[in-house]
Amino acid sequence: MKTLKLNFIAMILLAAVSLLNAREMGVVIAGKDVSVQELSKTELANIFLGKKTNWEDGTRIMIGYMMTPAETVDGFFDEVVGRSHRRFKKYWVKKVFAGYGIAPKLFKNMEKALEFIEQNAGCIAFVTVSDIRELGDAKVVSITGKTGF
Amino acid sequence: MIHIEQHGSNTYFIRNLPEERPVERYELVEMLREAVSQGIDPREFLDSDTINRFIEESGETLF
Repeated sequence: MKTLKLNFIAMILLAAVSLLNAREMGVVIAGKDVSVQELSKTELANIFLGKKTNWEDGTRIMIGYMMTPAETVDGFFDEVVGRSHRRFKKYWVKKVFAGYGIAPKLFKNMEKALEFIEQNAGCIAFVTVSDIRELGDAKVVSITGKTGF
Repeated sequence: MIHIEQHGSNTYFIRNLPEERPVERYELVEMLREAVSQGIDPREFLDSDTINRFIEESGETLF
C-alpha cells in the first residue's frame, strides 16, 4: 500500500515537471542576413519602439512578434521592452494613426513568423516556442546574455 | 492623412506612412480595435468609404 502511494506521488511529480517543461518560452530571432548575435535590452527596446530603424549596414529593420500566449508575450514586453504589452500597442497605434510608422508585424504562429523572416531582409522578431526545434534555421539573438524569456 | 487600400482578399496597405508593407486583415482589425479602445475614431484619419467597406466586408464590429 505504501509503495502504491509513493508511486502515485512520483507520477504526480512527473506530470508536474512535464507541464513545466511544456511551458511556452519566448526567444528573439533574426534573419540570417542580420549580422547581430547579441543586443542589449536598451538596443532591443529602441528597435521595438521604432527609435532605431536601420541596422549598421543600412538595412531597414523589420519588427514582428507572436501574439500568444499572453503570459509569455506580456513577460517579454515588461522585462525587455520596458513597457507593458498594452502600453506598447497603444504607443504604436498612436504612431500609425499620426502617420509616423507602420506597426510591428503580428504573427499568428511560428510558420507565419519563419515565412516573414525568410521573405524580408533585416527582420527581428519575438516568438514563442514549446520546443526549440520549432525555430528551424532561424538565428537566436541573445538579449543582454539571455536567450529565453 | 493615411488611408487603407485593399490588395487581395486578406491583404491591405496603409498608405502615406514613412514605410509601407502589406498588412493582413487580422493585424488591421487588431490596430483598429486598439485605436477605438483609445478613443480614436479611425474614420477621422481614414477615408470613410474605405473603412466602411472594410467593416462591411470583414463583418467586424469595430464601432
